[in-house]
Amino acid sequence: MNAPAITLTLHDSRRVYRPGEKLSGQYFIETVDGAETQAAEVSVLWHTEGKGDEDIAVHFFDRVSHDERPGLDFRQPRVFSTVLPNSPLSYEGVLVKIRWCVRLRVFLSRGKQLVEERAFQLGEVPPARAVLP
Amino acid sequence: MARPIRFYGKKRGDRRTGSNQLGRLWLGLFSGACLLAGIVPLVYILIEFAIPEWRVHHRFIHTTARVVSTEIVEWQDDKFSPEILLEYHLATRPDGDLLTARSDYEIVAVHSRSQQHWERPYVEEILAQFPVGSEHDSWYDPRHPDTIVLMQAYTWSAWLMLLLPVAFITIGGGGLIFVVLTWGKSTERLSAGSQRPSGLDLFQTPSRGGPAAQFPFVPDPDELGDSPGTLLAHRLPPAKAEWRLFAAVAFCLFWNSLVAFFLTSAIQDIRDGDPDWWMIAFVTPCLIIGLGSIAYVGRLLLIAGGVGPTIVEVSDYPLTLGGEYELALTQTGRLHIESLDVRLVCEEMATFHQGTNSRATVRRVYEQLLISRQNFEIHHGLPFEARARLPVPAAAMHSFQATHNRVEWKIVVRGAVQRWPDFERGFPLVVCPASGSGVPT
Repeated sequence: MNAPAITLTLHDSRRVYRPGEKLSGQYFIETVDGAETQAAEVSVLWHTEGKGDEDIAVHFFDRVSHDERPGLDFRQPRVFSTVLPNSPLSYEGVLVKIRWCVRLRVFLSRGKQLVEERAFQLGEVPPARAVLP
Repeated sequence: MARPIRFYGKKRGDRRTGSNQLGRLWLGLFSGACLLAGIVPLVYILIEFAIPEWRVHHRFIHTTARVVSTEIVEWQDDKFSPEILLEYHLATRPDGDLLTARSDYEIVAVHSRSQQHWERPYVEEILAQFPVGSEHDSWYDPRHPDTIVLMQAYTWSAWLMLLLPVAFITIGGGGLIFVVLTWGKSTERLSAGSQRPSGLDLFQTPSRGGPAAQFPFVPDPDELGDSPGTLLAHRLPPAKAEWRLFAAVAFCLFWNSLVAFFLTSAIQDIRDGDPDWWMIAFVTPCLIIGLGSIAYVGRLLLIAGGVGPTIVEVSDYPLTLGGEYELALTQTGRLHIESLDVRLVCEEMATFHQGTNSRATVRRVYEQLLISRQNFEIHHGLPFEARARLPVPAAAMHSFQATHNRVEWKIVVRGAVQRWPDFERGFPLVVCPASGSGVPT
């Protein structure tokens, strides 16, 4: 079985966004057999990386599935857009790193899933350096 | 390129990846096992103890029984049980034929005779309360009138034992409900459905329109709490250091009580001329830890009692990145200060799991000296006061609070006092992003 080809693009090719700005994009999924894709979830989210356990929060979420909309064609581009929040800003800390991204999760038949991400930066906080107390 | 979901865990840098689905399957199995481990003993305790005892109290019928004969029955291992032959009328047929039945002490229907074994002197003591011919309050089972008890008693240990299976059922049931509710749902879908600003109490509603609503995942300044100042507009609350003192005192008392118990036993053995060297080897390091905890508590008490309150006030609150404010410090007490520094600091805090332990680590990423004074006296009733500019850097991270990760700003006052332990006091601040941009100028 061929893996579906997932296309996820942001309309604005910038990597840095300001709080309150609109972020929009689109995605489509090409498969040999169009019925193979069961559902797709697109999220605009931040998550932490670094020393601590991961925190995650979703700012925007949209799910489409064959269960809710029979006859849905995932090969047709689906557009999403959201206004970005004021915080938390992207951050490259010593212990704590905050990453923003658009994540597309595709649910295939037999429980398989595929994930595609587009990272972007919210704000321009410079990287932090450790100082001795 | 799209990546498939991994069904096994992998450590990638500091981040662990893995399959949520597989994790939930394991959680489901574990929860099911917990539930089963709770239900089986619960049913056993209910059938064997709780329901029969409840029936004795609420369904058995009162009558007066006469003791016909008593007997001590011997079981294995020199254990004995009392048997009392009783004669009584049924309450429903007071003029009917007398009924004769055996009763163990307490509740014959609940505990089988094989469960009530005692030393012979104790059994004799019991039977002495029921001489032949004496009459006693008794209770019989209306379903089986030949089942009679001489006392209505509860086996409290059995009722307390109910807590254990109930705990297992709560954990197992809660886990299974979680698995059912989250099965097949992605991390993003769950997060989107249950999102709340981190650090917010479950029953607390976020303040509308305030900084907390405007800046998600920035701590709510109202939660930290501030009050009007006397020198400047806002007085900052101190970090909750009293909890450290309370925890230290509680640990010190608990630990040293245990140490005292074992130490007394070890000393007694030495006095008896039969020292237990294993016990001494065990007690010695415990004693050192106990003495250390006493010294630590003493130091905290000296700082808390000897150095007067420190008051920090700011001209505006919450602060904003790139903003410029005023800060006022008031230090009370009767001290000779060798040095006193006030700093604006920013620290990152990360909580992580290592095995079954939860650990936290802190890194300071910004520090700016605001006030520095050396060698001066503070007199009673005449507190030391100092003012300074409080510039918040624009090119820095704002306050951030999630479940496991935090970025915390605070004012730190550190003092070295002559002939006294050094002290350090923190005053948490909330620093918001510069409104609307988030990009430093």
